[in-house]
Amino acid sequence: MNKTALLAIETEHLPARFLFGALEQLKKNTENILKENNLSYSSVNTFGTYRRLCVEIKELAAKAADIQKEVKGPPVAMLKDKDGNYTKQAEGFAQRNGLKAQDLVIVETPKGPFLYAKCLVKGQKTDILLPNIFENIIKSLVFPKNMVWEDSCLHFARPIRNILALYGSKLVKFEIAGVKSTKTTLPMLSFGAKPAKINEPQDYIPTLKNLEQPILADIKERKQTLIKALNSVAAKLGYQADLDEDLINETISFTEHPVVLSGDMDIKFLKLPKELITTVLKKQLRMFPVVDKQGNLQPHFIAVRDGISVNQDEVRHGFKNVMTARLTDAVFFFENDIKTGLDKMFEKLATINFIDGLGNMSQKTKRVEELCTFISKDLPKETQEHIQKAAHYSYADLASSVVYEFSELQGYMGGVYAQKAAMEKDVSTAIGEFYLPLSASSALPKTLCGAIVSLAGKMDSLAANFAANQVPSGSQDPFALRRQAMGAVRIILDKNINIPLQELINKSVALLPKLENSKTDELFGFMWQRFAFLLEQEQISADVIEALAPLKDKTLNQLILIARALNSAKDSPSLMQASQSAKRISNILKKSEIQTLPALEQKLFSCNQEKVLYNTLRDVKESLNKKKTATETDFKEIFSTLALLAAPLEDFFKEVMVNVEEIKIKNNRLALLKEIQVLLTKQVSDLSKLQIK
Amino acid sequence: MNFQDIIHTLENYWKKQGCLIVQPYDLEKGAGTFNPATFFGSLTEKPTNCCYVEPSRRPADGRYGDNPNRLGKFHQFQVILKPAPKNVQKLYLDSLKALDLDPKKHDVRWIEDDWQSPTLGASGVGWEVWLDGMEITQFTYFQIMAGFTLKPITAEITYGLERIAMFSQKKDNVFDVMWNDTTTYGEMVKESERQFSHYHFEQADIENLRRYVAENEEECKKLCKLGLYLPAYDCAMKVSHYFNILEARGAISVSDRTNIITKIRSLAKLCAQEYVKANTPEEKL
Repeated sequence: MNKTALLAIETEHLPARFLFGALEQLKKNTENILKENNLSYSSVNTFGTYRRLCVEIKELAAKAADIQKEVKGPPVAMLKDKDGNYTKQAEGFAQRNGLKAQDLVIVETPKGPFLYAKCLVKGQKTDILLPNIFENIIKSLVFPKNMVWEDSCLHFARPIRNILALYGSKLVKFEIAGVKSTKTTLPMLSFGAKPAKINEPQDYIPTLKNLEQPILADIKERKQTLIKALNSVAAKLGYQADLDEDLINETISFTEHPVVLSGDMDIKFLKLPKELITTVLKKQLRMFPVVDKQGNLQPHFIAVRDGISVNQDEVRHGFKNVMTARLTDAVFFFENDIKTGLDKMFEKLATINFIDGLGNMSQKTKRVEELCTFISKDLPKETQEHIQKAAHYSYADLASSVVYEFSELQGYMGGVYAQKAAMEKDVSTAIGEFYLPLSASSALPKTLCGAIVSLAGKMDSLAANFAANQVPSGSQDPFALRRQAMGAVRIILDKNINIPLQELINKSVALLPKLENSKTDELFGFMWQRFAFLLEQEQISADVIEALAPLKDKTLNQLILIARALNSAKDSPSLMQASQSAKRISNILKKSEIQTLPALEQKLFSCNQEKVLYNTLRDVKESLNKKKTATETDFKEIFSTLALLAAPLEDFFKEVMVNVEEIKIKNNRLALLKEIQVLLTKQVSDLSKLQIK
Repeated sequence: MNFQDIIHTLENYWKKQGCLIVQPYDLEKGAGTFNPATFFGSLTEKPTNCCYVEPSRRPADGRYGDNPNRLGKFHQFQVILKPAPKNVQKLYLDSLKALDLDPKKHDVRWIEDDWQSPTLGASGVGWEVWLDGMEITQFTYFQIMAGFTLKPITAEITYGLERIAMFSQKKDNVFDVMWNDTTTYGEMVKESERQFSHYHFEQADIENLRRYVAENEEECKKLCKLGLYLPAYDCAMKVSHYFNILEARGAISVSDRTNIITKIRSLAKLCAQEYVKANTPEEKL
């Protein structure tokens, strides 16, 4: 009979950041291991807390499926000896597979006939398989960091202190890392160590919930409980809790039963910049800020403790004291920085290394300034000045005390300090926006000044890291180059920066001090991938994206218009026809292997079709010269113009032979095709890359 | 609970758990882990259970006795358990109970914090323990010491005595903590904080310190060659302390820093090698 199985790995406190990943792995690995064992089940669910990683297998079959096994043995010649007796090899092979020699069968293979053992392997009982399966599941888990703590040296995130292992109401008996499996579970550590008995898998969650000190083992339930409590305690204060998703997930990863308590904050701290306060609260103290409807910070905090509340006032007092101490530190750092000022901070940049061989942060700043000059050369003079000033101070806050303590506030603090120094609003905003966007899809710099300085900073970082061979591979991207490349591409598009990507890259690389191997092409490809990703998100099809690849002299903004236009023009049959012809032309030209073709001569045309094609080509070219290239519609028109070539090309291929004996005529035809090829595959995209739907 | 009672309570508690009460080691050190009982004690298979108060010096953290939360010299209470018992977390919580800090009445949070000491070539896995948001303890399962992969594993519990006293006595200023019922912590240490800050930040003679570093390094190497790992280790500790003063004095550049740390690490390793050689049965070497 199918029964539910439950494995709960109960440990010392797992790092909060490990929990979600561990549960994901637990599910996947369990499914894989069950599959390897030919065991059927209806579902695998995982849940848990920082002290228990649990997997529940519903309707797990009582035995593994029978499987038909076929094992290849020696060649047929080895079956019997010259006296007609079975050979030792044949008997041995049969025996190893639970058969007698006469049961072996002969199978024809490409290498001749071979002996095969064919047998039905009866699936073992789940009761017998489970101890091993559970052990393997535990051993299969890999954490971001592991440790050893006992004689067998099992690698795990933290010591395992209890293992609950059930199949139905039966204990699954095994031992790992010196821990014997049990039918019990450990309560919350701070509230005693007496284990609670669990009779059936389905009792686990309710039993924990009904303990004197309840535990919410289900993640969703824990999250809902926390959010509800945050909202309710904030409402009592007359405000709202800042429901930061990351902090909520972290909080439910370090609590088994989150209980909130609110407290007051001295109003004097609200003079600090908002982000500084929230960073202290969230990152240092794991507390939730309290805000009004407009998002303004209020002089309160909400802390979370693990377990139901006794002695709440004293705990609140403790939390408040710690918060006060931390915010007092923040005030000290902040006031210090204001006294120091951005100019002094800038001077310190010369002592902060950027990348070995690529200078310090002061030199990096110089390059960013120059890059800004290059990007902003066509802008009004005043804007250019603001951009230069913002670029000059863009990295200065790296030498501030606040950013030293809270690196995530880089940029933001610089903006605050610029504001305090009464710099132009454009400048302080730009400094504040310097590191935006912070993720692949989050907000971009709003102002043009901010966008250009930010773009320059990113381009320099990308060029420098590539030149230093610090190129992301796999999941390794310690310098967040993917995010920076994506940010740069998004800024270019958002602010319509009219410089082709290739030019921007060349300029960035040219400013670097040494150029042993600047990896310009790799960087272009790297950034192009981000651009292609954005196009994919717009549902632009892959072949259209591929068709854009030859257009390195175009700006990304032109390219995106071309992509959109082509994506819809693709539906036109005549354009697809032109695309087919373009492929055909490429093949013909490739086969001809002629390096240089003579100039086209009209007088060499002998057939009507080639004359028609030639005239259409002239018309199309002329018409293209007059076309605007500012909007998607402009490009759509260009594509419909190009599509005019489809019909005459079709006729040409039907009636005209290219590879004729007469070499002059042949080459003239090839020259005609060559001109058309340039038009179809180089000018506004490579139409030969389009795929028929 | 006053400061000296906290120490006595912890000593009493861990004595009952079978710990040897060791006295503080009589040399300057940055943390209790430098105590030979911990450094050498964690290295071989021989079980060890001990505890001790360890005055620890961090020259750069001194603030002339002006900052209510900063000290250039403070006190750790260290517990070393090898092999780490299975109920070590519970043992720790019970020690808090002994200090009248009932875990049921407070929020005890175990925050991932993997300790490492580049100077000792050591690292471990564990937590900092927060009591109602305040960090009061560092809890570590040593994994590597002086470059040696450890087996069995040692659990190290390091209580921050000043923090615990401030929490227990509800004081916002460390100098207001009561040492006994009539004398404050400030009366005991404030003048020392002031004088040593002047020394560490302004008066320490840089040339002399550099010479001490060089001399002790030589001495350490010489003694290791003779198998005298205990005095050799004293020299290594001194190098580490002089380095800390040089750093507080602002006399250490970034590359200097890396170099000296590497130097101390290799001295610690030399001492550990000698210790392991002398204290491992021959067939296991």
